[in-house]
Amino acid sequence: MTRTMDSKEFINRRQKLAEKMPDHSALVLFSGDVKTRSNDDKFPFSPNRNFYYLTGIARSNLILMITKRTGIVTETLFLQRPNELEAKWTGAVLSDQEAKEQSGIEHFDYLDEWLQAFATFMRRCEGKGSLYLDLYRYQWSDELTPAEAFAEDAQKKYRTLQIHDAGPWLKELRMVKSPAEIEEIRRAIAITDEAIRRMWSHARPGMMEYELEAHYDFALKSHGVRELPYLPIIASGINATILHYEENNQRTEDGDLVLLDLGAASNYYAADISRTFPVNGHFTERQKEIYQLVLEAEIKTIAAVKPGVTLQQLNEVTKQVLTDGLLRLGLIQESSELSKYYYHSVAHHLGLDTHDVSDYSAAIEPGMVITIEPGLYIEEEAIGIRIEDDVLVTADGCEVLSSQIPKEIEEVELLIGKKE
Amino acid sequence: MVVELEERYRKDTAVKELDQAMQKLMNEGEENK
Repeated sequence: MTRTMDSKEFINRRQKLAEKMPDHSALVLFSGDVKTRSNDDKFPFSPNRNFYYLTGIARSNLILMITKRTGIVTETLFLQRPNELEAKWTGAVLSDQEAKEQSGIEHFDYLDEWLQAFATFMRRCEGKGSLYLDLYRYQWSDELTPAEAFAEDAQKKYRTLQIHDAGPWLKELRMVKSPAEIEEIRRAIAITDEAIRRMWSHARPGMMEYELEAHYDFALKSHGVRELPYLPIIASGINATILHYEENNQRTEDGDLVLLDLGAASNYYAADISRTFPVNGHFTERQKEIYQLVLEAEIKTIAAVKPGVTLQQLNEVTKQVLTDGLLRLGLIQESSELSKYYYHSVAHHLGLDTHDVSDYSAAIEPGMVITIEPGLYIEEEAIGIRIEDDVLVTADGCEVLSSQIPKEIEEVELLIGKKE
Repeated sequence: MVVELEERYRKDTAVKELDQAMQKLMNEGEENK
């Protein structure tokens, strides 16, 4: 993936973060390590997103330490020591010159010197030091992160050390996207658009869901996208009523709708798009009724996106449109029954993570990027429909970043099974 | 990719139950300090 961000972008981010740091504090972030899949086989490496946000570097086993003492901020990146034998197996380690070009960091040491460097900082703080780490944990069963392990060790060694989670600072910074970040998301969306059109053009009844996935993979890898932000959902027929269906291993049948929920990434910035299409190229009248209702909910919810509203309020807009529509269609008799057919939230933030860092109850602001994704899931009719676009909040409303991806019934029908 | 109502995430029920059990243990540990 071609790099597009200048090192000034990362210098600027670190400056903003350092402004939040109190005196006598250190921020330590780990890039992460390569996880074992089985035996000596490894998963592809994926960097800690907060580390990447501040450095632009996607390499394993690096440590960023930013210290602030008597108002002076010092940034040090700890690198792996070059090793000729190791280089013959896995390639050269990141050089200080490469790291400087990518991140704008000026000062480097080797990893085997970093504990000593931290001890020196603590000694100079004379018992007043505080440590900020990325202490995020998705679930208890996740293995201990390097930050958590370091927190335990550091607390034992330095009894007066105050340890804090740096997550809230990074969340605040990451929630509002810079122009360079928005460009990355636009690029991810453009690749996703191409991939969806490729899938549509090859679609035909009887095709396996994973055959459609193969066209998606081809389009992404042709653009150098080798790490997906999340596993694509390619769900035909009743599978589309399972929100996070990822098996993608069933045969599509004539008359099925196929729900796609997928996204490419550009330098780790994700797209997140959902489209639903008839695999034979023609919606039935019933499918059209339900599809139009979801589309109406999506368009009206997008129209409600503006600074000051919360994601919860946007979900209320969606619920109102869907409730009115389902009552009209006779699928429900009272509004409390909506949750039978719609049972998720309509919006989330988008960025370096697909479900990006955010505060659900906070009002949205210009520069934030969110997705709008209403859906209806009617199991008894084997119909699952979701339509999702990525939206940039602007000063007076929003811009739909993915508006080029067709979603009107007539537009979609024209593109199915029409490969050259 | 959808998230749960009022959440940034989705979690499997089993994971939620484990999270809650671990949180309870942690709270008991704090009370016993």
